[in-house]
Amino acid sequence: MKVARSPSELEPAPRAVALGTFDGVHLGHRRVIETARDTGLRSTVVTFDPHPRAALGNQVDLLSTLERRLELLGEVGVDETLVVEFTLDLARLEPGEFVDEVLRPIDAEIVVAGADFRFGRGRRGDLDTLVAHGFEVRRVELLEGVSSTRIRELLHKGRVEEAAQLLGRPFEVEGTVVAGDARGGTLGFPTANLAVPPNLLVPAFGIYAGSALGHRAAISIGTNPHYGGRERRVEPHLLDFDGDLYGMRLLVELWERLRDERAFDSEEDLIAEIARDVERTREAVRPA
Amino acid sequence: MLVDKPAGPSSFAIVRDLRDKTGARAGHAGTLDPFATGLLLVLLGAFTKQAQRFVGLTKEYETAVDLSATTSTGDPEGEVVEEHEPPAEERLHERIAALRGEVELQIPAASAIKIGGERAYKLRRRGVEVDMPFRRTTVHELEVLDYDGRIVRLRTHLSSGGYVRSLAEALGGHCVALRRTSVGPFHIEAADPERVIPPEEALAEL
Repeated sequence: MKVARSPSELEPAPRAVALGTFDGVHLGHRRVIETARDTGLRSTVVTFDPHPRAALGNQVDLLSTLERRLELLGEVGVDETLVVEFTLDLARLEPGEFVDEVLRPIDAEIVVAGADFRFGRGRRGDLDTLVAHGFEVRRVELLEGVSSTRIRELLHKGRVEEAAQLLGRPFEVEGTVVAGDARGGTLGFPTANLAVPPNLLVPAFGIYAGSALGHRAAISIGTNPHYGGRERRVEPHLLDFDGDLYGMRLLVELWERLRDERAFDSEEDLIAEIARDVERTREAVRPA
Repeated sequence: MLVDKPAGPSSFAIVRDLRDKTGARAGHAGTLDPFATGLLLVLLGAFTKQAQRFVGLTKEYETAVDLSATTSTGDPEGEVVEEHEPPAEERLHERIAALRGEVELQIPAASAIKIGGERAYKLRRRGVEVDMPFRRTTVHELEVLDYDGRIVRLRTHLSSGGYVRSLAEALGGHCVALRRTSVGPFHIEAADPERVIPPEEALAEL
């Protein structure tokens, strides 16, 4: 999949355009993108970065980084993605100006979007506006109960299995492995300390079963209360893995929430509980 | 001199008043926003040349953050950007834990740092949109004093250059009150507008 940052990077061709922010690329987004892909025209996703609500100054916990979003869009099988920088200037464009600046320069013929898609100043433009501008519009009805907001709510409650049903795959926490407290190794369960970008959603604290790098992983999210920790840590322990992850980008799938994090009476009790977490991780089933 | 700044005047106004009163050259070691109160270190006379030794100190604050809305400036003077449901207590504690330690915080658009040679707040007043950079801040301490379901009172200890307004933003709210309680080894209890601390005594504290 070709990724462009400006319309001029895309060669002239009649296009089917899927329009949307598509944070998390959930099942509803996927229907929109697949509709564009299956038209027979060259298929192009037009997406926005930063997230429009964040660019307007709101607090948004993102479901995916842009890098991951682009990978997921590529997996759906579209030809190209145009990443439009969402600035306050862009937000202020009248719907007609948005059409002239974004859709006309890439020769959009068919425009596909979710039924609730809005664009332009004050969110005044909708799919009917696009029909009025002469595009062939494919309105994709919303999947009931599937929305990025709903997925965020579920994840904040730790309900990763339900979130996976809406995403169509397990939720992933993404980050870079950085130096940690190096405590897990001395307990017999070495963990990678994941630095997660500040605007990315991290689900409710607790112990999770999941995977990373093709290995099953038991993941601790929280402050390590047994050791009186104060800072949030995201720490996967990869099963049957022996190697150096330092500096690597890691995608950690969360399959199932096993338990709350807590302090134990002794380090032996903590180790015994981690051993049980690891056993349950071996038996966990990947959702979706 | 250790001054307890009242809410209202800018840090520079306090410095100017002291300069007029003492007739000495004066400067301060770390701005407090006009709406904020608390400890301002004012350097007088030849000692203004020692400013470098005082500007990099860590700082402690107490703040009240309204978690029901974000504002364009991160303080009560800006326009409300978004109103929302404040978080449940447990969710608030999770957000706070995520902000402890070394964190990347976005510098407020209404701040005095220079972007392309001009102060960010001046650019903003001219209507220029700026993508504010992130600054690595060490949050040594961030504690909830109390939370009534909308306003949380916090105590925090930040590396030099850390913005409390950025912390408030990252929590999904804005500062409604801010008081600086210490700058490095200097505490607000010692503030005294009548006393000029001798240079050797001030340096011995560092």
